[in-house]
Amino acid sequence: MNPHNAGRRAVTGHALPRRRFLQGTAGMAAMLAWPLGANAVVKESHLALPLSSSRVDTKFELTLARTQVNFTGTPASAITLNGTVPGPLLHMHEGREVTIALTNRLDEVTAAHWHGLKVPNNMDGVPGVTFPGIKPGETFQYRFDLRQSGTYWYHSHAILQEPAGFYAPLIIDPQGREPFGYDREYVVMLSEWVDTPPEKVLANLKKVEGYYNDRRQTLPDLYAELKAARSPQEREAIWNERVAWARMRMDPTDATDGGSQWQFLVHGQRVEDNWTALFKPGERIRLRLINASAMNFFDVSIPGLDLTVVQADGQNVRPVKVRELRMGNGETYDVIVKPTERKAYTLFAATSGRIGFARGTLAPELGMEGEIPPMGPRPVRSMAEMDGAHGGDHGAAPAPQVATTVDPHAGHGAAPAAPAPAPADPHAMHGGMKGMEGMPMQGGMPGMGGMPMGDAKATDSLAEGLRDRLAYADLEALTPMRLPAGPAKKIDMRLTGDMNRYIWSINDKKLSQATFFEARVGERLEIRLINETMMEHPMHMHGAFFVVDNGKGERAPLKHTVIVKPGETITVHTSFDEPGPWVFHCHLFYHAAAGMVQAIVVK
Amino acid sequence: MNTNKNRRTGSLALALAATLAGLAGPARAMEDDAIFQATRIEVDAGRSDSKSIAAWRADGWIGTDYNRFAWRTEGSRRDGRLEDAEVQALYSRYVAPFWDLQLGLRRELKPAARNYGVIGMRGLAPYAFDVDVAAFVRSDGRLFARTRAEYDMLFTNRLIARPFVGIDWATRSIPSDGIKAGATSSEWGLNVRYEITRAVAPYLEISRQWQRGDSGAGANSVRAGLRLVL
Repeated sequence: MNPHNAGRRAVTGHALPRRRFLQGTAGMAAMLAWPLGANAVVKESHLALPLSSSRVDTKFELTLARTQVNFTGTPASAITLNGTVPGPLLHMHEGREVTIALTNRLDEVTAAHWHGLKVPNNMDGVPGVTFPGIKPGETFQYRFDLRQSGTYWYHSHAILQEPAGFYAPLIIDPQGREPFGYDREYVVMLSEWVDTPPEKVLANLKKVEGYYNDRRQTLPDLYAELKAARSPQEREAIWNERVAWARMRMDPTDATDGGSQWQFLVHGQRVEDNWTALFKPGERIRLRLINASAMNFFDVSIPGLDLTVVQADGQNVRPVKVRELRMGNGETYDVIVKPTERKAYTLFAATSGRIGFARGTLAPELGMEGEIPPMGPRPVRSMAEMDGAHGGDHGAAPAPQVATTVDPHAGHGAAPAAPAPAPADPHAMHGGMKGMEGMPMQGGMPGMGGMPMGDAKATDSLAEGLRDRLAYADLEALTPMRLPAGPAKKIDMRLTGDMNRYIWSINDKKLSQATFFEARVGERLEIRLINETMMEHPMHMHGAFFVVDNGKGERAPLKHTVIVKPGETITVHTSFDEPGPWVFHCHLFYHAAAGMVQAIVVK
Repeated sequence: MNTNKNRRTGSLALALAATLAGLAGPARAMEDDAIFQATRIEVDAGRSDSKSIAAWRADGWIGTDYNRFAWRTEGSRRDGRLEDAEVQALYSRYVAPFWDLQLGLRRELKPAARNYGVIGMRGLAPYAFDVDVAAFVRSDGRLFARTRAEYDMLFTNRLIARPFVGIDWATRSIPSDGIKAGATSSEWGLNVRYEITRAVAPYLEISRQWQRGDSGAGANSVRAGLRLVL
């Protein structure tokens, strides 16, 4: 067993139900209590252990059980791995064969999926698709060779078990040397918690549209906007925007399905717990960022420090310096930071819907705290933003809240100067997107809605300190990638759904209705992800990486998860070297649970 | 109320819904085809033309995304006497985004015991109006219809005003019942609720009812009640 337990919402080395041990400052003494091994009682610790303190191993044992936790002041039931949320870090080495014995002490079927790992299909852990699942009381032996290195994670693919706590980091050290240097490294697993059981959350979302959305636009908001308008044209634009959304029966504040009840965690630690990673000034710190959240994107920044991105989804990229990263669910980024001052830096991860944030601290010693920056206003989508082909120039957008932090197109230098006409109905919007499909995919093209740019033109209060946000167009693989020669088989996946009913689908079919795609081993595939919905979808593929067509040619980055924004089309290229049914799904777990899952059957 | 009969009607429709769900069902059993439910209950009391009035309106569904058993009941008591009451049991099929087609039975208990066949559409119309339209064939072959529209206006995310209008129609005059073709009655008003949570919301409703043949402009009512979404 791996003894790397620090920082987690720890209970015991065993899966014994036990209350959360300590809270807040009362935990100061316990912070120095280090885990002694698998059987030692692990004290709650807000102190992050560097990765080097965890043992690289080839055999792991995991026990899954229901455990009482307390994130909110009210005891709640979580699904824990070896008693903790997140579960234990699995630290491995490339080139070795590993075995992982997972014992299911739940009263339901489970399965661990190794997120981002290329494994034989029967080890991929999708119950009902790749294997029947692990029944209550059973132990399943996962066994596979590690053919890659980098930052990954694992989680339940009995999908609603993930938000209940079944997720944990998985790190594979490379056989060779890393192409970048650093002095210390930490795993930073970002996640969320809500006391409501995930099944109940989904049931509520099915019951009432926007069940947890307590940030919908109101009539007084509209009145205030109209009053603040500087010209009749502006007033008209505000009015038209509202009317257009109402006509489409859509909600522009629908950036996340969650609400104010959600808490956000760094490695299982709440904001007030203040997860702290230590550094010596001048050291280069590698942070392995993982978004394990079930339904929220994170915008990650460390005010005062540049983030040098060196890996994306575990793959080396040409280092690129940014001030902020947007992380879709299931994405991982490795960044290097170099704090030079003897002070505390806040690792700030605001959800893209700005319903909350997670924070940690990088500090030269324990007990320090940096300033927590403001989250900024909650995003309100604009009609223009929905029209993937013609990202509007939000400089011309009238309402202050129309140009927002989630605006995917505001940064396009090539964006047309005229505000995009608000499409009258969903079909008009689809028409617009179809127009985009034929466009050549080159960086910087307006048609590349896929590339999130910085929010250079955002006019909200955040705009001033606004960091340059990493764009997919900035990602460049360190080594060129060659796909199999020959013509590609083309697959279109339209991301579809009915928000009103909380039905999510691909090509208008839920998983239970879908006819799977087919491919041959080694066949080159060109998959277009066409988002016809009003929400971002982080699309994740099992069994292989894909190349995200971002205009970098042979150096286009390899990823396993890619965010597709509303109205946008992203093209990815891939090829499978293992046969079997490989699922391709939205990594918003509630969308996946509602049906947004497809599969490619490789023969 | 005639609960036995209601239960029979209900279970019949449930069986019907289950059968249809099975027929239209998927090839694979997956969690994305799970059964969910929603129940909305509004119960209130107040005054109408200096008489006491109490009313209920409840509806709900149980089933998958596409195939559901839907039910609804409504009625009122005036001066302690049950004035009208009815219950419907429907098979509800998701036929288009935002829309359900509903088929089933309506049992009227008051003012008279009568049965109707029901075909209706319920959903969200453009501009986010809740629309509910149904045609009823009475056991004697007479045709009726109902239309109702509601609209949620948010003053805050919890304080929500819902104007509504409902009209009952008859296609033909029925002299024996004193019914003339056209609109036979209507109700319109405003329901203002405060959502303490999504599940629990007290409300105040002011409305005006009009019956064809009424001498005056109709009856006003003011009622206070509780809405539950379960």
